[in-house]
Amino acid sequence: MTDHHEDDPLRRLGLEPADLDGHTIEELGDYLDAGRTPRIPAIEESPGCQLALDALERLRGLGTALMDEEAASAPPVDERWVARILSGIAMDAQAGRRIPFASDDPDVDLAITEGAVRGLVRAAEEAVPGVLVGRCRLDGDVTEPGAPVRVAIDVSVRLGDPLRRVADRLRAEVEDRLRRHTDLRVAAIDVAITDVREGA
Amino acid sequence: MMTGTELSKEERAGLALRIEAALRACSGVRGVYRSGSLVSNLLRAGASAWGNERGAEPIVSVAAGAEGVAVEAAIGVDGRVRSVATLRHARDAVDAVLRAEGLRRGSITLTVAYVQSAVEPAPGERRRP
Repeated sequence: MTDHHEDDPLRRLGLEPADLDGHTIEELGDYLDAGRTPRIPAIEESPGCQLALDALERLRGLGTALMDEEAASAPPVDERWVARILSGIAMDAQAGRRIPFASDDPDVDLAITEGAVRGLVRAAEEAVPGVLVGRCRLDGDVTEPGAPVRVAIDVSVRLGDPLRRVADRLRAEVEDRLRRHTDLRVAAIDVAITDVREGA
Repeated sequence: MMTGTELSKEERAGLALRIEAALRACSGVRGVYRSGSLVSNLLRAGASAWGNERGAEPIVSVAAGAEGVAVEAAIGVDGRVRSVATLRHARDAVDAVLRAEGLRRGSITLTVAYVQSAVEPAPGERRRP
């Protein structure tokens, strides 16, 4: 049986329309092209859209570099890792579970969404040249304060970059961001290098 | 004078707007987003697409009951500041609005939905080529 949704680019990315508050990846791309003007409040007021815009913008910056590489007769780019990264961006846009902060006031409930945390982890790629985060998972009961959580990250790296050093730098950056923005008890940060690419 | 447990729809909307303004003015807060379910947000987005900008509903959720006023909001925060520190500033800001209006706090639920990168372009400015 054919899934009548399979031609919907949003669903191909594993994303439901509600995750982007009714907007599409294409709309967000057009919005970036226009320099985010005129301002569209419905996009700017959607955290899912903001997470997706951040990641698309970083990916777009890389796309420019890749095009430059192609123009310089570098080998053709394997697009599979781009698809994996887009899939990860789609996942980030979902708010997911609510991760609590400790509170000494029973009437005050403070938390951060799992989607925001995944966005934090993904943004760590900014600090490690050549790294692109594909997927990020938080394994464990993040809703239970003090419960051990493992962070699993799939990444793409440049051919020739020292793999262990790159993984260590990314792990340290992610650990720092998680410590700064969550109360999670991080038991491990597993970095899996799933793609090695030529060029940018 | 409002009692803290009885608020008309208009009073709730006005209070929600004042809380939203207080949150936006709060140190470390970079945005205030709609609280509520994805379904309700989708419905609001649909209403907006039909010309009803922002669905004419406040972003911050305010409910009044026997226990006092319950406030719920989702915020975006500055990535350079610890999220929990910003959340506590935001909680204090909500408390201050409730106190100023003579309202009893029932509960405050605040959620960070987005952490803004340390380097963020101004509106209309591209971050990268």
